[in-house]
Amino acid sequence: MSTRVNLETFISTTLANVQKSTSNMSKLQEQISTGKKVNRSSDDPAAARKILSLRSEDLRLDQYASNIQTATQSLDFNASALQNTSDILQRITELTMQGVSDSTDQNARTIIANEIDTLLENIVQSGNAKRLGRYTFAGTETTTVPFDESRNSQGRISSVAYKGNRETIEYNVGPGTNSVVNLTGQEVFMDSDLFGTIIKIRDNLLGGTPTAARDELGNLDTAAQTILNSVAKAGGISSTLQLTGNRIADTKLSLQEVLASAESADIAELVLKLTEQQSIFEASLSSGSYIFKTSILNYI
Amino acid sequence: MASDISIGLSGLLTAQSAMQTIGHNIANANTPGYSRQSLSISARTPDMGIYGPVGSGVTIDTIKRIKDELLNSQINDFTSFLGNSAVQSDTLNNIEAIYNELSESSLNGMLGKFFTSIQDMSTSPELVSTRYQLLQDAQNLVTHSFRSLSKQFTNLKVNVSQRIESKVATLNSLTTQIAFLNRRINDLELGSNNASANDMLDKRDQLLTQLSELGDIRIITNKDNSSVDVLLGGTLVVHGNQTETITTSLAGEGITKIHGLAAANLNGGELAGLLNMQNVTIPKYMNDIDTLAASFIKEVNNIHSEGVGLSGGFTTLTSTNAVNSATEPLSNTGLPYAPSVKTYSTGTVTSADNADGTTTVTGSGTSFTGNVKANDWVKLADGNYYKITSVDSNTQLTVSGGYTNAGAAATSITDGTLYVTVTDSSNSITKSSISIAADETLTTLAAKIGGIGNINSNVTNGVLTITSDSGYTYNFTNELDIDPGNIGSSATALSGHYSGDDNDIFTMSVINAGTGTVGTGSALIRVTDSTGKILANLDVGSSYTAGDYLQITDGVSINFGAGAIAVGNDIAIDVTNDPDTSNVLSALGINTFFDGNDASSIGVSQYIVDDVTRIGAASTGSPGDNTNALRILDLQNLKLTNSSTFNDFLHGSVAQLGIETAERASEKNSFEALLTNLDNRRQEISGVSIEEEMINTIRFQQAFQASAKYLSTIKEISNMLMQL
Repeated sequence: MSTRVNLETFISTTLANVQKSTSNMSKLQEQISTGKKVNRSSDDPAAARKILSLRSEDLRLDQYASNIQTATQSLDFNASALQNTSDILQRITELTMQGVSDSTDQNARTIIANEIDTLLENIVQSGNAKRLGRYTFAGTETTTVPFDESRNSQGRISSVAYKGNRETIEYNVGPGTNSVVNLTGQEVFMDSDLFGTIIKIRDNLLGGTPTAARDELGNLDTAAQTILNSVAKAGGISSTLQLTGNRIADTKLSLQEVLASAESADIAELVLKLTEQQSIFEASLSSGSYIFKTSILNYI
Repeated sequence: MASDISIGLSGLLTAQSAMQTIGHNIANANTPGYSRQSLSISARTPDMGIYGPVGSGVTIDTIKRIKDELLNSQINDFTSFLGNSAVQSDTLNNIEAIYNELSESSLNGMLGKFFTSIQDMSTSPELVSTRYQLLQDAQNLVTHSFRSLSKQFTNLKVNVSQRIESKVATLNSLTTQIAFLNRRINDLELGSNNASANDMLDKRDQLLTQLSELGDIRIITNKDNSSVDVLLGGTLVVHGNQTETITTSLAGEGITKIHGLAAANLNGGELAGLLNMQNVTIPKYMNDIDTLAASFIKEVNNIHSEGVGLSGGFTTLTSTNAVNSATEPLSNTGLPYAPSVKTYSTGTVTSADNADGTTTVTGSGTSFTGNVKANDWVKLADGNYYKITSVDSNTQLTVSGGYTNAGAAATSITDGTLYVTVTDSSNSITKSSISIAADETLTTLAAKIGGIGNINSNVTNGVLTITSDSGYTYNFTNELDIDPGNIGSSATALSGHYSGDDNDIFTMSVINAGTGTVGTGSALIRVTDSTGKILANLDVGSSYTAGDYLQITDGVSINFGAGAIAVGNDIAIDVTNDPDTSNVLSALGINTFFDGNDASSIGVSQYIVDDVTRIGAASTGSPGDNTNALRILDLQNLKLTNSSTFNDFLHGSVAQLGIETAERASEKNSFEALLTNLDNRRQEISGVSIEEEMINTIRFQQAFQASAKYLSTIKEISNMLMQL
């Protein structure tokens, strides 16, 4: 006996195949329109897990990069403030040499002392440098003016007190890796007694005791060296951070490539597949309708 | 002549019946479950004539269904399998949509945003704007991720439990109809020898297939009559014309229980699938989210409670988690992550595995009703701890995951040390430590805290309040005691942040006093840790200027002021990484960021919402201090949730869900394909072919015409005879 095939068999088979085709097409359409291969974790559980970790990683790399940028900007700002201070110290050294020279008279010394006094004010201002609302040389006391000057009866700075602290500030620049991003006023200005030295030179020049002023030249040199070292230190941290930043950028780039290959759909391939599905779909519809029309009833 | 007419008549009637059957077939061509019928005809018993038997026409033996019984039982089996995997696949698709993990606004994304905001706060802790951003992101994480997920999971579970109820109602209606048909078929077939109640049999077969969609069935045909008995998952639900009524009851939100049916023995069908979803799968993923939320809340709070906000220290703090008894050990007072355990110490306990991921526990002499509820813990007379899924009766509980030992129910409060730092108006620090014992009660804890100088504490209504004397502030941070005291008569000062892994005590002792003061001869001060290991030998001899800072280790520096020292002088300082190893602060909700203890109850603590400057980014009162924020950030890298990081745990759960969803979907597809195939084969055998019926129509039309012609010929013959 031959196989009995009836209309119902045709209908259910055609229906099942047409439904399969539409479901395949809708899946392809979803992938094409979202541009993503994996739209829910069941599409490819292993890839989904990978995509999720890569995305978390990507988000964190962005944050490290942003922290590094903030840190290097702040360090570069410090370095340039300190470079300025270093230039001023250079000038103070020249002026002091001139002032302690035997050929300089008291009048000229007073003028020199006045210039040194102005320069001292500049240095205090540099030390109180503020960036984005933070005093950068104040340790973690970032909202306190770090260098608090006392003035004598002539309105000249008589002493400078440090109101900040010795604490370093660290930023998170990698998984479990923090980097120091500040220089404290204590280490840059106070440990070498920079302000005291300059005040002594000024007062001795004003008071006509150039020999005592000359004795301070050594201290001034040490303080200037400390500033230069700090510039180098800030620059050093900044360039290390930039290297870390570059490495993060590289990692991010390769991570995004991996992410793209795990996540992004190959549109060309998908369109081809869609065309193929479409022709199967159309073929089953047209053959179906052809068969459904054929009936013995047309002939009796 | 009479026999001739009778022969003609039999042909005519047979053709007519055949036409009727064909008409019936065509009319039912599209009726679901219909099996084509065909006439079984044979020659009548011949009359005995003198020349031997003479044919006496045709007779209809029976109208039979064309049907393959084996195929039918296969279809029933696979309908069960498909029903099971289809409801599971659908529900898993729902869970996947709830998780929606690959979208940006997923829990994964929100967790990432939370930590990004902490990062932003860590780079400018003095700005209030970054704190508002953090609060916003924390609230989004709480409401749009954790709580919303939990709510959607609960809704899904309620939906599934309602579907179970309605499926059971369908089941009862089906069994009733089957039993009814059993009786009618029996009546009809017993009434006549050959009669076959074809259409009712079809109807019954179809009802049986519908029943198999709900559960795996076994059909037993009775030998002595035409009824069938039906076993559903091994339980007799139809016996002749009698049925077993299955009932349901609600045992809690989203938990429907089935009675009258051994639900654990169901191996297929939608009921088995839905029960599995309700009892195992949905709770499993809900539990994942709850586990993540609990560990996230706990870990962030542990660190946060050890920090300080922009104001530096505290003058008044009140615990936000009240205990239900100030004189019971803290671990037994209903604190978050220290679940309330109700102890029943008398009676006996029997437990039975329900094979669906739950266990039924029966305790004699217990009174559960009204005393415990779902999600509570009980400790029963057998010494085991049980987490309650539902309270079934006064003596019976359903518990999840079998019984669990004390470890899982244990509180997060452990034996440990709590360091309290008190700062006076001149910023001078006093650090004190309290040891927290396992059986600490709130009252004894309050007494210990109150025993610290310038700190007062009291307990009111289960809430602990800690206040400081005027001019003093306190905190629980790991900040160093910057002025720990003198060594000999040399004043010391500390600087830095201790970055070691464990809390330690550094002991400084004078090994060489030089000529009796700091900064002379070859004076040497040795630093050892609590195990006696030498950490540093500090040269405070002639090359040392009093007041200079010397590095010890792990980020800590010290200086020594001018003053007399002698060999043997020493000073010990506490250096802390984790100032609250007991975790009592986070358990009581003192200075915590989040409250709640699972995904449904997580919230940003009102204490933080009221004032974002309270967010504890710092360990000291300095506005630029971000050390505690860095500690919170480090949580991302630690394996804190079931030995995974927060992210890995979540990703693992998502991947597992993906695998399960994909498996069920492919199972469903293959069963669908198989069933289509079987259905086609059934159609081949039992389906109505219009072509075939039309051809038969022509055949019997001609037979009818021929019989009619024959009769008219006989009539002519008899007329001729009459005219003779």
